[in-house]
Amino acid sequence: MGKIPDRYVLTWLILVTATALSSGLSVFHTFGARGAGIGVLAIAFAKIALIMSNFMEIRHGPLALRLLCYGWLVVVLGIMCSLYGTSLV
Amino acid sequence: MLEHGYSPKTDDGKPGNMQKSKVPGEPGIWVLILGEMSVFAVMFVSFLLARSGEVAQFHLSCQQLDRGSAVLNTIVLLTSSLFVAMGVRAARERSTLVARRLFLAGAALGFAFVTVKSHEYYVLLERGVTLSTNMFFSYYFGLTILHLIHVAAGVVILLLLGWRLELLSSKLAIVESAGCWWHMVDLLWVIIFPLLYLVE
Repeated sequence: MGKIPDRYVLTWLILVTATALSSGLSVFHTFGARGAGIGVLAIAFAKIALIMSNFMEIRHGPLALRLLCYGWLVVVLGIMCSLYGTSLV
Repeated sequence: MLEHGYSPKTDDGKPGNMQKSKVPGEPGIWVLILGEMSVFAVMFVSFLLARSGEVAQFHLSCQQLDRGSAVLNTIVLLTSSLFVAMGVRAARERSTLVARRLFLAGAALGFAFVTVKSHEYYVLLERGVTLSTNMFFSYYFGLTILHLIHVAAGVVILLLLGWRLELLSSKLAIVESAGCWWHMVDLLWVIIFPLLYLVE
C-alpha cells in the first residue's frame, strides 16, 4: 500500500501545479483577458492561503493570528480584484 | 539541544507534545511580518491604481519582461520554502544535522533566485530599460528590488541557521521565526509574480 505523501511535499506539489495553471491561463486567455487576470489573481491568493496554513502553520495558531492573516488575504484580494476588474471597463 | 516551544499536530491528525494553540515563532516576528505584508499590500494597490490610468502602456511593458525566468524563480522560491518548512520540522525533532542541511539548501535556492533576478535586470538595463522608463518599470524595479532585499536578508538568516543552528537555537521559536520570515518572502513573490508578469 502506498505511503501517504508528506504534508509539506503535497503542499509544494499543489503550489507548483497552481503556478503552471496560472501561467497557462495568462498565455492562452481561456476565459478572456479579464477572466484570465482575475483567475490568475485568485490562484495567487489560494497559493498564499496554502503557504500560510501549511508552511507558516497558521492553522495551528491562535484565533487572533488566523484572523489577521486570513483577513489580510481577503481584504487585499478583494481590493485587487475589484481594481483590476474596473480598470478594464 | 533545541528547546521545544511549539509542536503542532502531526500529519495523521494526532496532537504533538503540546496541544495548546501557540503563535509559530516569536510573537514579535509577526508584528514585523504583518507590517511588511501591509507595506507591500499598499504597493500592490498603488500599482493597480496607476495601471488603471495607463492600461495600454502597462500591457506593452509587461510583455517586455521574461516570463520564463519569473516562472523559474517562482518554483525556486516555492522549493526553498519546502526545504525551510522541513528544516523547521527537523529542528523540532532535534535532527540538527538534517535541519542544517535543509536550511543551507534553502539558502542556496535563495541565492539562485537572486542570480536569476540579477540576470533579468542586466538584460533589461542592456536594452535601455530603467526605473525612469515609464510608470510600469518604476513599479517593476521598486517592487522587485524591495523584495530582493528581503530575499537577501532571508538568505543571510538561513546561512546562519545552517552554519550554527545549535548556537542560534537555544529556543526553537527563533528557528520558527526565521522559517516564517522566509515563507513571507515566498508569499510576497507569489503576488508580485502574477501582478507584474501575468496580469495583462
